[in-house]
Amino acid sequence: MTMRTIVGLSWSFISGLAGVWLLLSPWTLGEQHNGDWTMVTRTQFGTGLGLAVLGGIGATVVVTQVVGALRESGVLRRPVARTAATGAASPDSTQEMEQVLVSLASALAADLNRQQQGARPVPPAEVPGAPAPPVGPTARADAGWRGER
Amino acid sequence: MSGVRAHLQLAVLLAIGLAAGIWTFVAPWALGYPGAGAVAWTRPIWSNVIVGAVVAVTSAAALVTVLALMAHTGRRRGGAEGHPGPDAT
Repeated sequence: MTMRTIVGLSWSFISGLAGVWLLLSPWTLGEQHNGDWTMVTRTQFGTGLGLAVLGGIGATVVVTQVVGALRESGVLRRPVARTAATGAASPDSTQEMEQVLVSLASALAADLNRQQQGARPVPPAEVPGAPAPPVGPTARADAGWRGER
Repeated sequence: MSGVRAHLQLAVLLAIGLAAGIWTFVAPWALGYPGAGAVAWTRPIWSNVIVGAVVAVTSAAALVTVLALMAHTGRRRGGAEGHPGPDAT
C-alpha cells in the first residue's frame, strides 16, 4: 500500500501542478491580452483545468484508500454515529460517561483537599497605626491567646 | 477495500492522465496553433509540448508501476488461496 500511496500522490501532485501551469500559461507567457480568448487560450485553459481536476481526484482517491486501509487495520476508529439527535444513548457511551465523571469528581476532590491543607489565614485589611498581624505557624495560637485575654 | 480493486481505481485514473498528456502534447498540431508548421516553435507550443511530455511520461511510469503492483498482489493472493498452508484444516 505504501508504494501505491507514494506513486498516486506524486502523480497527483505533478498532474495538478502541470494543470495549473497550463491553465495560467496564456497570461504568464503574455499570449492572451484583454479581449476575446483565442483558440490557443481556450485549449490551454481547458486542458489545464482538466489536468488540475484529475490531480485533485487522484489525491482524493489515494487519501480515501489510505483512510479505509487504516480503518480496516484498526488504527483509525470509525466515526460514532451521533445519538443526541435521537435522544438515545448506547449503554457503552453511558458507561464511558460515568467513568469520565467519576474520575473528574475524584480529581476535583483531591484538588480541594490539597487546597485546604495548604491554606493560610487571609490577612485583615490594613488599618493605619494598627500593629501588623502575626504571620507564621504561631499566628493561630497568638490569635487564640488574644481572644482569651 | 481489496488491494486489487484499489490498484484498479488508480490505474484507471493514470490511464486517463496518460491520455490527457498525449492530447496536450499533440494539441498544437491537431488544432493548428499559429506557427505549428514552422521550424521555430512559439511559446504556447513549447508550453504544451513540455507539459504534455511530463504528464504523459509520469502517467506511463506510474501506470506501469501500479499494474506491476496489482499483478504482484493478485499472484500473492492466488498463491495463498491455492496453498492454504500447514495450519489449514
